[in-house]
Amino acid sequence: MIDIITQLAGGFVHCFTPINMTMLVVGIVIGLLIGVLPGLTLVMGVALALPFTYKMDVTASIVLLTAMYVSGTYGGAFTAILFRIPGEPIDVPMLWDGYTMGRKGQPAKALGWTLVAALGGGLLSAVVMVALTEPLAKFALQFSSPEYFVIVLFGLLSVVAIGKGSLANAFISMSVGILISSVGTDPIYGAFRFTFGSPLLADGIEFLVVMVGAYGVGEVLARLETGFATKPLDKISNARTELPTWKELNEVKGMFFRSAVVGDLIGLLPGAGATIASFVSYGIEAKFGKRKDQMGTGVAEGIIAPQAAATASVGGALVHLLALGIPGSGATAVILGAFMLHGIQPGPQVLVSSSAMVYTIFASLFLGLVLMCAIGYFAIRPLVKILDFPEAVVSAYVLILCFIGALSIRNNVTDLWLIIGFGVLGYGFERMKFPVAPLVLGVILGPIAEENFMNTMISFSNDWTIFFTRPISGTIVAFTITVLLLPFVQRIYLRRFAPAQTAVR
Amino acid sequence: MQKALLRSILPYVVGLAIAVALYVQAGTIEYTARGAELGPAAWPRLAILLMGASCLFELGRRVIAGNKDATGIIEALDRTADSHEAEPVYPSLLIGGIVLMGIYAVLVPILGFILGTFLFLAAFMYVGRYRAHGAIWSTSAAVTILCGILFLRIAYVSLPRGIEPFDRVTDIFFAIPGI
Repeated sequence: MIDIITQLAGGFVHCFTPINMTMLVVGIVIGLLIGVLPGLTLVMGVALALPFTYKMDVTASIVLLTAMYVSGTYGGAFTAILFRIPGEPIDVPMLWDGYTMGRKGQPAKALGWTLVAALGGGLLSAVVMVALTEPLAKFALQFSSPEYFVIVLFGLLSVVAIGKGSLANAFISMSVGILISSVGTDPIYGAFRFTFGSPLLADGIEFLVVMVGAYGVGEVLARLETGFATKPLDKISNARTELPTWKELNEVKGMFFRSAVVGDLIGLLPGAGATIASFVSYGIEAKFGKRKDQMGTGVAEGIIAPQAAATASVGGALVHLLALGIPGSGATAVILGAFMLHGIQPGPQVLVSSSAMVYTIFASLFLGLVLMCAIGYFAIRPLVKILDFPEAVVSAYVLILCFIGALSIRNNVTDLWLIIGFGVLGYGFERMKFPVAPLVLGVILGPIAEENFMNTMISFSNDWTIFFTRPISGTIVAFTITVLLLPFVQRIYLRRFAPAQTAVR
Repeated sequence: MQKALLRSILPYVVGLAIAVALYVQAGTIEYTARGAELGPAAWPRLAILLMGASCLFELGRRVIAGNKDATGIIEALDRTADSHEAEPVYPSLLIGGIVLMGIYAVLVPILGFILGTFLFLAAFMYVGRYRAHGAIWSTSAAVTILCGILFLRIAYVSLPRGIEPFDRVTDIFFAIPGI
């Protein structure tokens, strides 16, 4: 424990270097802006920033992306409370009590509760993250290829099971991602797969092209189809934050802690990110909370529960990303991509080989949360002012950033065509209700899964039962099956929680 | 009703056809076999089988259970999902945007990044139904210059400079004092 605290102290020192601090502040501001703008999603923003980290130091890159990730879970609450525009799906529960409190003449108070919830939930999850990552990574040092394969499979199937759209559509999306990642030269035999005679395809398809295309270009196309119909806004000049008093905080401390723990636990589950955390936490409060009958009428609990859980989920999600190398969501998949761009594979070894970097990232999360709240408190008006920018203008800039990202990969215009192609594919997926996250995760995790699957097959003479008979891999397979059953469990959950949520609408 | 069902199963029929074609294609991958070891087609074939099976399942479900979308956990938790207003859609804008991106990809090696980006930004804002002409051209110019400074001068990203005579624009950009 002392060792962890010492290393964390070292992380804080590294965090205060000019480059890391700059990236932290830049990441927080951009993340807040992305959260505010309805046309931009959190994952899209993190994916767009990825190409700019090429020439940066790996620690500064991850600090930037993590800061965007954490502040993106908070920024959307501003517009949800003030204008009934959820910047992200995470912020939908904020409409039920946050916006209602605003309509009752207390928007500043609602924003104050949001700020406190984000800070408290985030800090608690950061502590859990620091405490859990190293022990989990040490445990993972025992893993060999069968365990790694089933862990990757667990990550992939969790995203398939817990998310948007039907299970079959998510499976199709994941399969397409895995197939895209298998294009190129096979790593074991050196054989060309699905290259159709193209020398460029022999090098494979960069995951960055798929990621930025599907999330960036795809979402701009989806918004363009609606004619960028953003509603005109007012009240911006009145936007301010009023913090709750100690007495008010004391009254909700129990549910505050419960919501943060729920968010952290959900974040620890690969596949269930901030959105699930936000909804589940609200649902629990609406079912079991002290003021469950008043949920939806503009009470503080209805703001604290989703916001504390959403921000707390970030720390949980980073635990398995750093300790096992498994991203559980679109945003953490992009952060994994940033590690891989710099030649680092997160997992148990990274804590041994690059512990200074890992602890700097940990420290940046603590500092980032405090800075995020300070910026959110003092700069709410200019942040919300960005909504005055016409969406057509913002989207044009987003596209140019996507194109620069494509051109900077191999300095080849073919990548520009590929990014446009994957943008159209991403749009098509969204339109036909195929989730995009499994596609992106399939592209990123496909090669890791294949490597470990093939190594297992070679080492254990094609005996596939090995995944079930080894204790650790067998246990993870059992978890995987449990997660796959979650959509069916969901029906039972809804039978219990739906009446409460319907009532609060 | 029949038409709607056909439209809803079309993606899965196409997906199934692609899966069959890719499965056959995977069989043509050339490699030197090593004993009983799995070949390079084994892994992609697993993914293809999963894709094909999922398409078949969804096809069957839609035909048997009717044309109804299945929902995931997020939609199920979002009880306001049903009340979201359906936004009007403009397919012509979408096609315009895709065509414009294609034109950019064709023209950027010829015109160069600076000129190509400036024109793309302005054209995209018009396609996106923004009509403040002064703002369109001035912000396009400002953002192009900003991107040029950031990526060509500071980050040294190798972006297309264009061919004669358009590469002159890139040269002029580099010659501007202070940039």
